[in-house]
Amino acid sequence: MLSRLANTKLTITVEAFSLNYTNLQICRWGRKPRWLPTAKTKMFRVPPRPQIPVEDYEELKRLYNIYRTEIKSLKNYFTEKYSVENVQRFDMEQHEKSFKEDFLKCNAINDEWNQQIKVEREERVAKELEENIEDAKKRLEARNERQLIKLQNADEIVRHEIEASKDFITPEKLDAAIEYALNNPVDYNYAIDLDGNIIEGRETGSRKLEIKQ
Amino acid sequence: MPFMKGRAPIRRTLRYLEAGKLVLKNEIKILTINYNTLGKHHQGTEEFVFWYLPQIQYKNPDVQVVTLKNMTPSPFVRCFYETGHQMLIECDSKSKEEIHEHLLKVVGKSEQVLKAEAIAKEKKDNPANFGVGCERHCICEIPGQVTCPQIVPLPFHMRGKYKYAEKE
Repeated sequence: MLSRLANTKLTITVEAFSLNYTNLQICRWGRKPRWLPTAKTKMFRVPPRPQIPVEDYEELKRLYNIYRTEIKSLKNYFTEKYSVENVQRFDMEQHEKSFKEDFLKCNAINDEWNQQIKVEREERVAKELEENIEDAKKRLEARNERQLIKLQNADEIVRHEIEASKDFITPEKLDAAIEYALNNPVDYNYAIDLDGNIIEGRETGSRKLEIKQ
Repeated sequence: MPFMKGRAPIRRTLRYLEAGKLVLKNEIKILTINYNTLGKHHQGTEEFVFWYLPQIQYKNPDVQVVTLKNMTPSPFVRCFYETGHQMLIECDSKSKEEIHEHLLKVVGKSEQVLKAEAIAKEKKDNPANFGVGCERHCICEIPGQVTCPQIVPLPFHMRGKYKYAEKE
């Protein structure tokens, strides 16, 4: 019975209210004001008992019984459904417990995920470190090479200078050099005549050189 | 912000925001995301922030979401619970989808809970209620009920002027 009631929807159609009854001014006590006593003419009137045929009475009784049973069950159903005792109260303890359980469960999943990432991350970091070391080594090598070339170049220059320094005029060699210079004066002055001959020197016993054409 | 300006303005459309799946648990109050703007292993987290953060914030208006940039060697997400618990989720070298999936599993409400909450929310909204925040503003919107007196005067027997009038 209850399940049947729960399934059927209790709907009220609005078609019955299609007319706008709100605008009606209802005149309920038109016949006689309510506060007046029974009319004198009707004071001792005894209305006759309604005569209902037995079959009708039986039928009505049956219908009313059904009606009362249904209404009673409806009442009980709604009382049960909306009674304060049956409303679930918010249980703080239960809530906390379920939260903790849920948290532990999620934490376990998360720990697993973190563990997995940790492994991957450490692998990556190690690889990156290795790459960095490799890179640093390479750069060091290149730098050493550059340094070596630089050093070699410097060596070359030094060697060259040492070679050249044999001809340098030192204090010991100074007198000899002066002597040599005095004995071999060089004059870079020269003139060119119309034929292209270079005539070198001015005062230092000039030489006459044929220039190669 | 104007609608079609900036990078990926779709992130600001209502449809995109409402499509977000991650609804955080009630106990979570703060969500922090640490990542760097440079580095390959931070890329997934950066994209996660770019694409999913608007949805998360839209779906969880009561949660404080903080992004902390360029402060960490490896990216991670941390959730603070109102009970004092914390959950640290590493996101190193993970794509934005993977992070999203994992967050759904770990800190998001499950689908059953969401469904139950939706039903509870619906139930709370009794169709018979009327007034501010309800389906109808006034009972007079129902056919057959008394019209608002501002539109049609109440019947005489409901009005004090006639009800309490002295009888002649």
